[in-house]
Amino acid sequence: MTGPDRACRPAALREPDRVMRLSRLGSAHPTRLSFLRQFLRRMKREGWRFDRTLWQVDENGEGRACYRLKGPERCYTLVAFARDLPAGMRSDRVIATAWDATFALFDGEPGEQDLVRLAANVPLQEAGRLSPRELTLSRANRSVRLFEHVVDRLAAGRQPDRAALDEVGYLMRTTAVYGSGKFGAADRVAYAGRPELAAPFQAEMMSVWLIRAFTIDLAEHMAQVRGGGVAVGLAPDLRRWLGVGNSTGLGMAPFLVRHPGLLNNWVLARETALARVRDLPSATPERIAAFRETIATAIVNSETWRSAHPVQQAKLADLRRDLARIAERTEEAWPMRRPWDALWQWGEGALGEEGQEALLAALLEPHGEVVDDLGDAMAVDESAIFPIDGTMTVERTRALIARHYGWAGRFDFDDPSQTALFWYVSEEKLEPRLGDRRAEAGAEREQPLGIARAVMELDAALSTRDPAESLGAALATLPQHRHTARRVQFAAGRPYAEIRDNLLAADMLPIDILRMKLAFFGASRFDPRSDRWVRISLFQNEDAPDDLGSAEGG
Amino acid sequence: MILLSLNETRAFAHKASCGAGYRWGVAEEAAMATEWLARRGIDGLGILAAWLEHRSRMGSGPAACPIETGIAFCDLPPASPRALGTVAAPVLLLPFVDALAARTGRRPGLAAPGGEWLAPPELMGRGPRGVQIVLLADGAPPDLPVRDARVGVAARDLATLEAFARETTVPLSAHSRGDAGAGLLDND
Repeated sequence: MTGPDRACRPAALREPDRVMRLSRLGSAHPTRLSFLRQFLRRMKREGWRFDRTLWQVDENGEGRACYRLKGPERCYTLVAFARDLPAGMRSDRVIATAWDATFALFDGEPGEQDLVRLAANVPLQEAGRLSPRELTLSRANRSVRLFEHVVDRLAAGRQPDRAALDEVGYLMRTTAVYGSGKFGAADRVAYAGRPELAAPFQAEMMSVWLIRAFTIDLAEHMAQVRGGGVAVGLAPDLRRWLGVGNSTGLGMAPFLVRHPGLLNNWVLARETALARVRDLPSATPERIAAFRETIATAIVNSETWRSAHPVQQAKLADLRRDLARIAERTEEAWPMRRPWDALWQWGEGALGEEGQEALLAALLEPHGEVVDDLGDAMAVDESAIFPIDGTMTVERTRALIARHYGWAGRFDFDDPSQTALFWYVSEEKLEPRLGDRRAEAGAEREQPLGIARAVMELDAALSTRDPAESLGAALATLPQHRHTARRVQFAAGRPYAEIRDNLLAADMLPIDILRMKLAFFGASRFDPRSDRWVRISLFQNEDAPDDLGSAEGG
Repeated sequence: MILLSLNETRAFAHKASCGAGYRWGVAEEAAMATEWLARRGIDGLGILAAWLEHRSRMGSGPAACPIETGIAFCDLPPASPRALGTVAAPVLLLPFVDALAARTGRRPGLAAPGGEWLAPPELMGRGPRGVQIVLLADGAPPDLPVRDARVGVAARDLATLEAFARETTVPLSAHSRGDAGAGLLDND
C-alpha cells in the first residue's frame, strides 16, 4: 500500500466495490454537495428575496397561505392549505386520505382563479390533478406532541423547552413531496434548463424550505389565538433549530436502482470532491480551523441525534467514538505535505464506515472553492432511454459483465436466503413493497430490482450462444433479458451506477438505501423506525427564508 | 379528456405494456415511443391502448408489432433499404426512426414499397391491420417538431391501459398492507 512515491501520486477515486456496498450506503453522511446545501448557497449567492403574500388562516388553524421567493429572473410561490384534522385521521402512510396541511409550489404568482383551482385539488393530493403551472405537490402532518408544547408555551408568553425541540426537531413532517410531472405537475424537462432548478430536487428543496416557514407561522398563529396579547413569537435561535421532518418508507428505495445514471453522477461528484481535497498540497490555518469546527459541530449533533432503532444506535455509538478520534488526531500537528490525504489515509485504517463517511463530509466542508462546482455535474437528462448497441457481440457483452459485475458473482442464488425477498407494487395505493417470497403471493409480478441475479441470469443465457453472435440477434430471442442488457451497457462507463449488493437477500436492509438517498438530499437526523421506515429532518439549524431580504422591496 | 404529464405518460405506457405481456426491457421502448409521440402532439397513449387491446385479443400477427420492429432496426441498423413488411400501428415506428437517426447520424425514414415517403398523417390513419413499410436509410423529410402543449387522452383509452397496468401490481392482503414500512404508531 505505501511506497516511496505514494505521497506524490494523485489520489484515485475510491473503488466502486467498496463505495457501493449497502453497509457503506447505509453510513452515508450529508455533505456540502447535497441538494439542500446547493439550494441554500444559490439563494444567498443570487440574492433571492422572500415574503409571505397571503395569510388567511382562522382561529381553528384552517385556511390558506402563500409564500413567495423572488429570484433574478423568476419567482415561485408555495401555496398552503391548512385544516384542523381530527386526530384519528392523521397518518403518515401513503394510504392516508387527509392531512394537517397540503401544499403546491406554483411557478410564478398565483391569481385568485389559480387559488380556487388549487383549493379544489391540492387537499386531495393523489386524488386531485395539478397543471404545468405547479412544480411540486406535498403534504405534512403535525408532530402532535411538540406542536402542542410549542403552542402552549408561546401562548403563555414563554419559549418552548430546548430539550423538547431536540427530541423531535420539527413541528411538522412531510410524508411525500412529489415533483417531475406527477399528478399532472410540470415535467422536469420543462424547467431543468433554469439554473435554479437544474441540480437534482431543487424544486422539492424549495418547497420544503417554504413549508418550514409555514410550520412556524402556524404554530405562532395558534399561540396567538390561544393566548391573545400574552402570546409571544418563537425566539430566533429556536426557530433556527427547527427543521421540517420527513417520514419515508419503502417508496423511496427503488429510486436509486431505477436511476443508475443519477446515482452514478451523485457518487462520482462526491468521490471526485474527496480526491481533489486529498490532492491539495497543503492546508491553510483557516481551513484547519474550519475543519476542527465542523468536527466539533458533528460531535454536538451526534449527541442530540436520537434513534430508537438498535441498528442505528450501534452506528451512532461507532460514529461518536470515531468523531472523538478524529478530533483527537487533528489536535496534533498537521503534516506539511498533503495533510488532508494523510488524515484520510489514517481514517481508512482507523475508523469504521460511519466515521469514514463522516470524515469525508468534514474534509469537503472547508473546501467550497475546490469542490462546489461539482454540484453542477449531478443531474442527468433522463428524457431519452439509453439505446442498446445490438451490434456488440455476445463475447464482448460477457466481457463487460465480467469487468463491471464481477461483484454479482459472489452471491449464491441457489441459496434460498439470497432470493428470500421480492419487490413489488401494491395494487391498493401503487406503493412499492417488499415481500417474503416463500410466505406471500405475488412474486410472479416481481419488480426487477434484483440486478445481481438478473445479470447472472443474462450471463448464463449468453454463455450458451455463439460468442460471435450479435447481442441484438441474441436479445431478439431473449426479450426477458433486454432490460438487463441495457443496464450492463449503460453501466460500462459509469463506475458508481450500481448498488453492489443483493437486494433480494433475507438480511437486506432497505434503510441502507434510504439513508444514501437522504444523505444526498442533505437530511440530518436519520432515525429509522423499522428496517423499512425512517424519519429525518431537513433544514435543521440552517438559514430560513426570512433570513433573505424581503421580496416586496425589490 | 385528461392531460397527462410526459412523466405520467411514460410511466403509464410502461406499466400497461408490461401488463399486456411485453417484457420489462421491451416495455421500456414502448414507453419511450409513447412519450416521444406525446411530446409532438400525437396521442401516443391512445394509439398504444388500441394496439395493446388488439394484440391481447388477436395475438401477434399477421401484421408485425411496431415495438419489436422498431427495436430490431435500432439494435442492428440496416445499411440499405429494408422491407419491414406489414406493420401494425405504424406511427409507433416514428420514435424508433428518430433513435436510429441519432445512432447513425443520417436521416432514415419510412416509405411505401414504391418509395414515396409516408408522412405522419398517413401513418396515423393505419391501425392494427397495418401498412406495408420500407425503411430507407437516408434522405427523409424533416421530423415532427416537439410541442409545448400536453395531449389529451380519452377516458376510455386510460381505462384500457389501467386494466393492463393492474396486471403488474399485487392485490391487497392483510399481510402486505402491514408491511409497507410505517409502524402502528405514526403520530408523535
